[in-house]
Amino acid sequence: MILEFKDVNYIYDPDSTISSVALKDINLSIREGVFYALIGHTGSGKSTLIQHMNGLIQPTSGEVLYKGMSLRDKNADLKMIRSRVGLVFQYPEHQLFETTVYDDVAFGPKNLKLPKDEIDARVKEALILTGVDESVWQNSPFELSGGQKRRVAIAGVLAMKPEVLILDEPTAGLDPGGRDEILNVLKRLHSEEKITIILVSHSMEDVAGYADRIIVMNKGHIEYEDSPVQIFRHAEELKNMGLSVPQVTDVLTRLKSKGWPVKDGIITVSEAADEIMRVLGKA
Amino acid sequence: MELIRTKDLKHEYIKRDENGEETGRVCAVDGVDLSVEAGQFISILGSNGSGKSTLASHLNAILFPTEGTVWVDGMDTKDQSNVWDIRQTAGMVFQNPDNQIIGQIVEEDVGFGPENMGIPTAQIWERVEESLKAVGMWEYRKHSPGRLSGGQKQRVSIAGVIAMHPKCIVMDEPTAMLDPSGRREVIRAARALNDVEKVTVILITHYMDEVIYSDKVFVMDKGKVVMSGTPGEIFTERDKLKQYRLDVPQVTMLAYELRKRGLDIPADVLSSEDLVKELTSRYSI
Repeated sequence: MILEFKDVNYIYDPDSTISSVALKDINLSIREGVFYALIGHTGSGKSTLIQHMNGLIQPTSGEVLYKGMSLRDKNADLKMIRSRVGLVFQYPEHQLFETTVYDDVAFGPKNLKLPKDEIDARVKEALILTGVDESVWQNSPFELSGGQKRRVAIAGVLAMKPEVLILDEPTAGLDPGGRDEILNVLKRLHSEEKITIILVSHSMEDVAGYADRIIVMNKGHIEYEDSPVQIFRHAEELKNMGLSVPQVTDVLTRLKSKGWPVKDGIITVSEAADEIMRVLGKA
Repeated sequence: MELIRTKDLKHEYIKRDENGEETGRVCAVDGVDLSVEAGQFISILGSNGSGKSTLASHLNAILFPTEGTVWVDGMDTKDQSNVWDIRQTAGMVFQNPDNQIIGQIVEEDVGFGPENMGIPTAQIWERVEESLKAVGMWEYRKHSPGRLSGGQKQRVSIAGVIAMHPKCIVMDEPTAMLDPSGRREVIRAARALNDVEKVTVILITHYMDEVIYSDKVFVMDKGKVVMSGTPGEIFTERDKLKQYRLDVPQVTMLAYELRKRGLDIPADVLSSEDLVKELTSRYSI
């Protein structure tokens, strides 16, 4: 268990007239090496939840543990934990500031006071992993496309060598090409580098295609935590929570209501095509 | 009737170094000829940096052509005396709802535009009411905008624009920051405005499934319009769209896979309803 939430509650502005509960009785275990997706309507508490994961926010009650150690513990080395649990905020490209792509990615490792050749190795590795072409490493980050900038920002977090990478809507505002590039980077980090991924997303199609587990938040608490196939069986409940199911899941549900004997739990295009061919006896 | 027309429209951004010396030029819009009829629902697709937002900014005189001409309801945007009339004709909704709302309560925010236009108070209230009703936000008129969801805020922004009675509303990625229900709300509001109020809608988006109800889709790449047609025509050109870093709706993709496996269904299926109708009318279990 790399991260654990035990009875976590979080209240914004407690003891004031505008106090509001953002997280309610959160119990959650994040296992090493798993690709998680975190979904929920706007204001459901997703961003508050992920900021608890590296101690940016401390719970009002309950505790968050990193490898068994409470982030509240006086001996907890938050600086070390923040390099292990990397957080990529929404629109991270707004935080790029150095004059070159290379320097921007090097900023974090430099702050760790690492030897120069170690910094160099980490920067190069991170830029290669995120697919940022070497020809632009000495360019200003501000001259890059939206998708490239975002990959540079992710490389900056990767250069800290995190075990867990948490990304808050990393594909928002990107074109489909840029979206696929980012998602493929995450897939590679997960399968080859064994990094635990927590992806916050509003796209049910993306989540269905990439995640091993889905955490569904609703009004500050965790409604479900399960495999994508199980999660997307709750079409009606998800809709009532402001979410949806992948389009292909919707197609199969409609076919079923017309009497076609299709299976439940179909969430990707190729599965859906195979299943339709199967019930037509053409597989 | 033609509401918007661009002819050989070019827009260059000048890049400068810290001393203000010119270091290069980027042609963001490069010779665009566009015609939009009054009452149409138009969508514009294109990758990041393809020039969509720059083009949109020309349609309500935020930017002016480097070369070529833009006419909005017959008015040339280069003519400074037209600027205010153009902005009342073509209203604009942007990506981030938090940057567009200024009022302390919803109805005040929506009334801000017409008030600035010097509309008499009684009429302002009429307009606020009809605009909020048109986007389904009337019951929230006394709420503080800060406490609304993203989709609700964005609908308030749209109401604020339509309270100025524009003939056309340009939406630049209005759903990019919203959750699925927020996206549904905004697209439904845009379609209702077009259907019921006959407002011309120009929608810029990265979500392929949002453009399937358009009368016409334009695809931009490197500052040029490279494809145009009905959604059905556009989305059957899957490979071409991939080249432009775009995609097709997931349902269209499923139809494509089924055709590849030998089923006889049309390639231009765009919605779940249509695909189910095609399948159940052609095949029986």
